[in-house]
Amino acid sequence: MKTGLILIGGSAGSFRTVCAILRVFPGNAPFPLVLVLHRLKNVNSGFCEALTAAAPGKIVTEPSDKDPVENGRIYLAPANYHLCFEDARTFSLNTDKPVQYSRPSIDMTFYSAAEIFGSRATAFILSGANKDGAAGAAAICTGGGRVIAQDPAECEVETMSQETIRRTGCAVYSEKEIIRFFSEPRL
Amino acid sequence: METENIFISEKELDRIIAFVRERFAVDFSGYARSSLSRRVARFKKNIRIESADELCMLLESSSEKLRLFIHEITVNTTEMFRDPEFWRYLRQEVLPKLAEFNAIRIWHAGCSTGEEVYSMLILLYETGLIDRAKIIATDINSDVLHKTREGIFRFKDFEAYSRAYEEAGGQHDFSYYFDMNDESFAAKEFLKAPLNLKLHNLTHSTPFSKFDLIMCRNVMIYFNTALQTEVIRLFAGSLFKNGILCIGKKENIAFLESASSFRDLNPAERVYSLREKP
Repeated sequence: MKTGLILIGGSAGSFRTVCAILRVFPGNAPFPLVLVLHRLKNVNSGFCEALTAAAPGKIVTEPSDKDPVENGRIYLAPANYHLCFEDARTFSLNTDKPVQYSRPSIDMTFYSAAEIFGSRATAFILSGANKDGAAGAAAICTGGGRVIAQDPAECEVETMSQETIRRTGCAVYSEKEIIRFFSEPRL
Repeated sequence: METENIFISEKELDRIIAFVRERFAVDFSGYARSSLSRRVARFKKNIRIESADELCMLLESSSEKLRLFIHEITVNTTEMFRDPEFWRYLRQEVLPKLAEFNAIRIWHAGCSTGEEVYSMLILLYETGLIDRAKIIATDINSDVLHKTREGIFRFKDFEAYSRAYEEAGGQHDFSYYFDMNDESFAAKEFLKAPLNLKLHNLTHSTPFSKFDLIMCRNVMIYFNTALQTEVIRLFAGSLFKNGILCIGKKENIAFLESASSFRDLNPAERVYSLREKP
């Protein structure tokens, strides 16, 4: 069976939701989980640790360039790089210009995931204050994958989710539905 | 929603790489697929062409489009004092080691538009080493080498660079080093004294000189593992005894076979030194 993955893109207001997701996410999922969260440029420690602390029994790591993509693991896009996929089993980092003022950019990762994983990519868009992620979500749809946006009414900041829904007409989940999905996640 | 071909297939990419290599003797086969794919797609979209065949025909027929294409594939974005804590470490731990020598030879491999080079020049000035230093800055692309020579940067980047400089332990007002204009800021001539530029391709290259310090930060991320291995081997052959190599914060050479020539100096900052030969 072709490999797949789940992606989450988020920005302002998404941290709490991501922590809630990580709390319920199983420790042995048969696919990787990749988080692309907007973050401060020169802050290299703390974010990963905070997320790991929210996910007892699990570890969140920031991949280095060409690190393997492994099932059951949770990855966070490192600060000041874009996170892409060299192939289905290998990460690739780059320092291209910020996209939608963001590096890491959700668009970048989602586009790359769409190209490499096609229909086996499932992507979530959470709370955020800019449009990063909407174009990437559209690419996921073009590639045959699935996109789910958090209900804008429940987002702390609705811009990112709203723009994604506008561009893709994707499914909309409440936070409760998102948590339920991640407690028994499937591609 | 667009349904045009936004992805480049493996076959298309192979075709383009082979074409460019055969027709123009430029070999991109060692470049990371994800970056190549993204940049080719971007180029195609910007000039509004659909297929790999159309692209090849265009590159064949227009030397200007060829130049733009190669620029798109080979030019990387860079910034001054990227990862300030790395530059602090360089100032506090690495340069004092090099200060023991009468002459300090530094190679910026893949210097792009020069932001990192000028960061180094500023650091050398502030540590009193600029008169003893010689910097060779190389890149495959002559446009960016020219920009490095000019040392002119966009005004909108000034504030961010100034902050990074301060966080990196900068001792002056950042503007001390530049002539300020409306749209840009230009490096003062005194900074450029140690600077030499050279067109150079890291692919299939053999050592052309020896250095005390090689800076190659966030260049090899654009290469595949095979080319990374080759480049690390090149660097090992281009350093004096105990010479130092600095790579990017999230780069990783640990699993490359040629990395056995190096030992960790500060792995967290991705700084290595050349092992003694047995």
